[in-house]
Amino acid sequence: MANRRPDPHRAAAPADAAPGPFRQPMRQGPRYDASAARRPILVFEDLYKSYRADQPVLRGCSLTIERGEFVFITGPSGSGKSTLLRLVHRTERSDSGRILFLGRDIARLTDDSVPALRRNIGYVFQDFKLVPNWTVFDNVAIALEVTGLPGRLVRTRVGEALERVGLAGRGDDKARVLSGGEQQRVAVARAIVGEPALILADEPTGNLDPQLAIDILGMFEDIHETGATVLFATHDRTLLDVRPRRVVVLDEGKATDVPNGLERQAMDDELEDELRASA
Amino acid sequence: MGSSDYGWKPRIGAWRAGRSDWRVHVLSVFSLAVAFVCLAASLLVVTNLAAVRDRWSRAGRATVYLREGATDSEVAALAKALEGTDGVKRVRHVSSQEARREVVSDESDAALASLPPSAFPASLEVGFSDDIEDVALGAIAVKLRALPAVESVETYQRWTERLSSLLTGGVTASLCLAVIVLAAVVSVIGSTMRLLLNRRRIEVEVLKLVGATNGFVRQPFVLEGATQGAAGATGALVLLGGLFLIVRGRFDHELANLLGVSPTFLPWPVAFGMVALGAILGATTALVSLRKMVAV
Repeated sequence: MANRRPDPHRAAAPADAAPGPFRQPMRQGPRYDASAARRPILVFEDLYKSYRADQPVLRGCSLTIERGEFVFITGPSGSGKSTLLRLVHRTERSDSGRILFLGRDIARLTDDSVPALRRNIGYVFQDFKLVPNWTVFDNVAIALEVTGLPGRLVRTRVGEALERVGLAGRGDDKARVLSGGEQQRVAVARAIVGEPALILADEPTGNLDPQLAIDILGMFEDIHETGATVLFATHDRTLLDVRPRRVVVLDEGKATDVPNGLERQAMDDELEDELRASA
Repeated sequence: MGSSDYGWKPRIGAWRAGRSDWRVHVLSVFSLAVAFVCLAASLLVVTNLAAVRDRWSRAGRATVYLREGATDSEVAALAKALEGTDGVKRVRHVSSQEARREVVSDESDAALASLPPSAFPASLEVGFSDDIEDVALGAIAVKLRALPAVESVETYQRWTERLSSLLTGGVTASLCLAVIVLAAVVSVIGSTMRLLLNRRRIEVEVLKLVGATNGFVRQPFVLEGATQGAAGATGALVLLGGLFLIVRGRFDHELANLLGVSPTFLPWPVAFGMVALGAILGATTALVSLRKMVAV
């Protein structure tokens, strides 16, 4: 059988070329774009958001997050940390500006496309957001069930996720009987079970004691090691100082980037001041 | 990514809430059953009142008063002709003496006892079958009045018309009550479902959080609402049916004597209609309550 697939090169041939059989000009189909893999995972461009007209939360916030980064987002209460994450998750909509997730503008997604976006984002909250009457397994499995994954695969992957967060064998326990730290581990398992490209953590250690908070941070770092991009919103300075990481400070509705962490920045500033004084 | 890639299994899986919170479900089904008992009871009253009205809309009998000079042969011929008429079940000749005996059972009432024999005319008591039409009965009465041996014919039409209109009023009032109860049932179902869904708001939040489509979120809740509504209505019918059987077992004879008909339970179409109504109301209120919660 003859190959009837249209040849795009012939379709684009000049008008004075040898006459061939008439064909409608073909539209170019999607092509593999090698540069797409190098695109930043998340770009905020001149973002504005206000809940009350006289009190804007974000005022021209611009920021770029590369793939595989671990970024702390910090700032005082009400500075817009949670708002920024909710805008990425499309729980909120921006007033103006763009948010590009893997090159696509989130604000322009139709309502039908929002579930697909959310399946590519793991979200962990301060208050865990678990269903207390469900078992640990059910709370994690729901993230896969919405995608229509077969039950056998769901069981396997939930088991793996629970093992990664240190809750292997606890699948049958009801979520309500778990401690705060364990509940947050379940929430983390739910966030990572679908292997999303991006993980948003909104004050995930806010309800935990300092040691547990550092444990949970370590867990996010382990997840980051596997290649996931993590946006970790917190106002807890002690967590920021555990390891030098990129920190984005939100204040007055704008983002200030501190690439090597606040402590390193402070040391650099101090050193610079000393050098200037000695000179 | 549309909804077509979701199988049935995950949807059943998402219904895990129905299994884990069974006490709440039992409680809400009970609330719905109580509301439906009121509706079913008012429909039961309507059904039985309508049956009583139908029974008493026709007296089913007539009295043919004979002239004083009617001969035995004329009376016998008339009785024979009546017995051969369609719709006539029985004919009984009551002589003047027998009529007097029936009215004046003892001589204690002097006024009755002193009445002349002409006050108690001989008659033919005619019993009709239940399915005879009023028109046919009227036509028979007209023909009988034209006969020379007949003085007058009493069909009790006015009395049955009055009773019938009274019972029709009762049926209408019961129907109005049923409509009011139905409105209350809708309100109770709506409130129950809203309370239930508010209690389970976190489930909806979690489902939306992990990327469930609106259809995926709604389907288990709507199915649950329909099931609860149907279960509530069925429970109400079972409860009312049990009570009905107890009452009928004890008072059937008395009620039949008093009303002229045996009380009956709701007809099957009404009972099935009520279960279907429960399912539809449950599903609808769940859908309406979810509309705001599910919004992206």
